[in-house]
Amino acid sequence: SPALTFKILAECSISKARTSIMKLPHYTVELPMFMPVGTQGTMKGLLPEQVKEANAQIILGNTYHLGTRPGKDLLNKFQSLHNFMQWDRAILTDSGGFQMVSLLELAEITEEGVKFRSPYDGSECMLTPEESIEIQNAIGGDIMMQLDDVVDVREKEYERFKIATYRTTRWLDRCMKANKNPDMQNLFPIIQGGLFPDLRKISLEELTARNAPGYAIGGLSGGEEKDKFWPVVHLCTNHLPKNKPRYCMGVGFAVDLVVCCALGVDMFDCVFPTRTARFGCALVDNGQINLKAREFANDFQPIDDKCDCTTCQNYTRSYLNTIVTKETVACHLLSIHNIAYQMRLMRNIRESIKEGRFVEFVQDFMETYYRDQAYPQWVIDALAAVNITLNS
Amino acid sequence: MQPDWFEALNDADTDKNSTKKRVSKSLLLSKSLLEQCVEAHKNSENLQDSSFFIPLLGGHCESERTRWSKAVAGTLNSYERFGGFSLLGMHTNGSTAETLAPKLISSLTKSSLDPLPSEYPRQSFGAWNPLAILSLTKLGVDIFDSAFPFLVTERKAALKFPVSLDSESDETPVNDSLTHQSKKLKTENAPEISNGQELSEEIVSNEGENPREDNIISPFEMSLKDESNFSVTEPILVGCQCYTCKNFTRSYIHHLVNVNELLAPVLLMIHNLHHWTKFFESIRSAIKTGRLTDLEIKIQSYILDIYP
Ligand SMILES: [Zn+2]
Ligand SMILES: [Zn+2]
Repeated sequence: SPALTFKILAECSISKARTSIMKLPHYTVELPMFMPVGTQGTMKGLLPEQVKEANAQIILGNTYHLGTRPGKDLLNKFQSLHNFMQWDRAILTDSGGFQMVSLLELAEITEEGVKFRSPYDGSECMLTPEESIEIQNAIGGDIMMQLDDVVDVREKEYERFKIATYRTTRWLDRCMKANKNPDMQNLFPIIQGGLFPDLRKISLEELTARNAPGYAIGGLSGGEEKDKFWPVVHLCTNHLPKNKPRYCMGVGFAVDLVVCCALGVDMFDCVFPTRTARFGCALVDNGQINLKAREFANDFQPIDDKCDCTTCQNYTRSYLNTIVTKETVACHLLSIHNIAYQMRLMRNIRESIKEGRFVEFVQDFMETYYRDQAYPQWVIDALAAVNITLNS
Repeated sequence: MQPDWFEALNDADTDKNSTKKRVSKSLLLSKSLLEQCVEAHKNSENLQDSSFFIPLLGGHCESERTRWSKAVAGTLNSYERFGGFSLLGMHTNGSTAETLAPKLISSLTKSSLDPLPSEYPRQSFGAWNPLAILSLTKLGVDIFDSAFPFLVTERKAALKFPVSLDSESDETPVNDSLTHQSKKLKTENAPEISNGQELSEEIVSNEGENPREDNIISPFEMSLKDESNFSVTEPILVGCQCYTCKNFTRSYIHHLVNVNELLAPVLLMIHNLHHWTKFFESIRSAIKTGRLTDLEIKIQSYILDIYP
């Protein structure tokens, strides 16, 4: 694709992990990477400079939100979301479909598109694949996602997933046809099929035949059991083309990131790091700490003394303890740290792959993360599937 | 905390509605608190390098304020680390300061300051609007705070009044965007109705949850809530050198306000503090060149353009 070049720099000789470089129109990013979510054209109160300082290479924008406010006409006037929000690195946009199905109670999926009632004026609206791409073209993100048929996680019926699998292919074709800016904007298909391996294989076969610049694994991270989650990722990365980026949607917990990298995934996104910051939580080596807790009142250490973020360079846990959930700035300071934490984790993964010590990295990471606790069985199983054994 | 200076503890919880009885009670209590603070200061090791400011009180009663200050003047020699004066008791913070007429504030301030020596700094905290600041500056008040730009930010607005006497300045605002604004706070800020009386406050209630705080707006600012900003690709103030104006459009800030994003007050406060700081730079240079009245006239005529 003229809008994306992908080059693998190094691969783990034992697992499926790889590190690569992906050149996008606005920025060249290093993979595996985590993409923070800036839903409405801003990252939770942070200035674009601060987001860059936290080492974010690409951010996510939400098509449903941006299409509603400020709307595609205004974004077209500004020529892109990049210009509108003053962000000169890469942007990825979702299709809007998932947001609708999860946020709007009245969303109904038909062959035409996602039918929903506007939360603003109650009118009946329809998000078609064509409309989704038109909004995403207005946003001008480096990577666009196809509109896919999102099935509610609580749905159990095979037939419903089967419809979704085939419909997603038909919608991909409509999206590809609607894309007015293929030279600057990459369109990623989304593999569907729920937790059914045969449907996943069909979806993989159909979508990879379209020769897209990269692929996403969808329909996961909806609250399914972890031991159902990882085999799907494993299956998908086995069948996705090696020379193209793979994006597992909605994954953002540190352990999940490490496991999915071992399974050969390159890109991730999640609202978790910034959302948890709002509640006063900071990400650390063994999970997260809540700075509201009384134990931090007299703790004059930074959140993490190994962290190079501006929050850890300047503020103590004690100071944060006094302001969390009271002052907005606490949310900003924790968001900065949490984004930096995710970015550092991904950089450490990339470096360990380059230096041929990814397996040791995973072993050390899990040992630190779980300390004296037992490893969850799904982590053991998922890593064993790619030949990584954890230290006892 | 070991501050550079601190205000002696006092009961300044009086405003324009306080009764005479309330005011004398406040003075009685404050006198005793002052004496205790002076004593505690003497004995505090940590505060040896801090000086203390004496509160100037008396509510909205000129004679009480004068009486208090005269009493203070008589005791000044006995204080060791006395640093200056703090004008208090005229409002209870927030918009209760903003809505007081400059003339009223001036006469109250004057009655407090007249009996006192001039060689000590005087601070007057509260959301004084720019014209009130200028009146107080003329009376010799030296120290103000950022309550006004903060209030303006809270109501999602940006300061836009002229801050420079230099007519060549590219920061001179244009009155374009203000003419359409439907919600305005009328105070005696508008010079033609400046008569020192109770202010008339016009609040046009809108759909906001907090109509009072949300929908008032002073003539010194523009609302970024206003729909007219929707597609404006210009900054808040053309030529302003603040980070916000150098990087962001009114359209984008309006969007952030519209979707209630945290970045909106961040960007607005950056501009408002910058503008406020520029205003004080201008005040200092106008005093040096004897042109403080020119600055006042410039701001007044800007207001007159908005409220013809
Ligand atoms: Zn940090
Ligand atoms: Zn500015």
